[in-house]
Amino acid sequence: MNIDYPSIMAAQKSALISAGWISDEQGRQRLNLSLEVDGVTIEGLSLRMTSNRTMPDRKVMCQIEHRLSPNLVEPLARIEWRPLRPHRNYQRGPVEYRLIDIPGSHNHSFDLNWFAAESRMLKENLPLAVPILPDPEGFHQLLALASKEFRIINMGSIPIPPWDLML
Amino acid sequence: MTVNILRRGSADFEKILAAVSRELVSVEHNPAGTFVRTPLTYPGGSGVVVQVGETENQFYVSDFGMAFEEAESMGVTASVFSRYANAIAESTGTRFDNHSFFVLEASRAQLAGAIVAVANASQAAVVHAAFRAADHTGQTDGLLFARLELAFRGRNAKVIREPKIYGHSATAWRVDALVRSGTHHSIFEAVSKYPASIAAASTKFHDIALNDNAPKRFAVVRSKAELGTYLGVLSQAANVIEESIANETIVKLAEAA
Repeated sequence: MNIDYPSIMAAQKSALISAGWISDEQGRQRLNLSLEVDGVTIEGLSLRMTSNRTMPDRKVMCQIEHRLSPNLVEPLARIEWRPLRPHRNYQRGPVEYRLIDIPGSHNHSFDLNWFAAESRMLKENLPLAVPILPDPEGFHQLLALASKEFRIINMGSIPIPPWDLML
Repeated sequence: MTVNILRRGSADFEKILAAVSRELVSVEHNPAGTFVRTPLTYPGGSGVVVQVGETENQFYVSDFGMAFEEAESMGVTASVFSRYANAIAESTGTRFDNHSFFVLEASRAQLAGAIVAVANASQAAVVHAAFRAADHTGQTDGLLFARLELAFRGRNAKVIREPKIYGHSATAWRVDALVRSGTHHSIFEAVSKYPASIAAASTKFHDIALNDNAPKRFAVVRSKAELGTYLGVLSQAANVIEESIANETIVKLAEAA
């Protein structure tokens, strides 16, 4: 299904919080929520979040994505909160962040990664990002930021991942 | 990979390089383990980080499932990822457990090599995933280039992205990549199974093939089987290889061209 990505990203959306976090034996946790606009659940559009059970308040990823086929997803926007991996833009994007390591939280915004001239996303999985400053102090602050950035009105209702608080 | 630093000079210059070398690799300790940040990056720009642990005078190194997470963000399923991750593990001397690339029981002397091997395997797996994802959307050119850079890394060869090659008709054709290895020149073009892609590539290959000393031509496809009779069209003026071909084989083909 073809959808107009700029319109979808600009629209106010809500997440269908019908499922909780799912963990696997490696400690990876994930949450996948369908998104709707004006009461219509958009085919293939979802908010996906990941975290790790052993890393409270670290390594949380929030991504809006559009599933094009069973084995193909088009990521549209991503926020990485306190990731283990730094991000480095290639020689493109905002001049002040080209070829500079962004070690902490960062935002792969839709606007940065949308190639308007060809009406498509830039290749290679949202290659451009900018730092998130100040860094959200906790999970709820992260949700507030992502809610505003993604225009998903009810992200604040998403439950905290079931982290192991004592190792 | 070794980078030749041509300029030698001031103490400041040496200090800068010493500082840069420290920036390229760093170590983080947190309750979940110890993580080494390497200079490698995945196709999207995320740094390749590996986890290192210690067990009775030996060490283990793991990519902590981060290659799979990267691939998953592009829609690659666990079963598809495992299929080529196992092949990459075999070619890099690492192991893959359906979640992470790892090396167990590395000695102190082997630890640096184990970190490099796991980081390379992790990066290569994501390059494959990105290549695969792009192939579905007809956007393989940049990823083919990345794949070739990976294959020829450390070798005396130059990989040029999207050069213009003149055909016998004097038409300037843009191809995905040109590899110069000594006196051998090869062009690589990603081709999908769709008729428009086959026709465009075939026209290009035929025109270039008519030149004196024409470069060797390679059409890179996801699966020869899915091309059907188009394989015969494509192979009239180019060698056809599958994207899953081993890096070593690509190098051999280019060096024999």
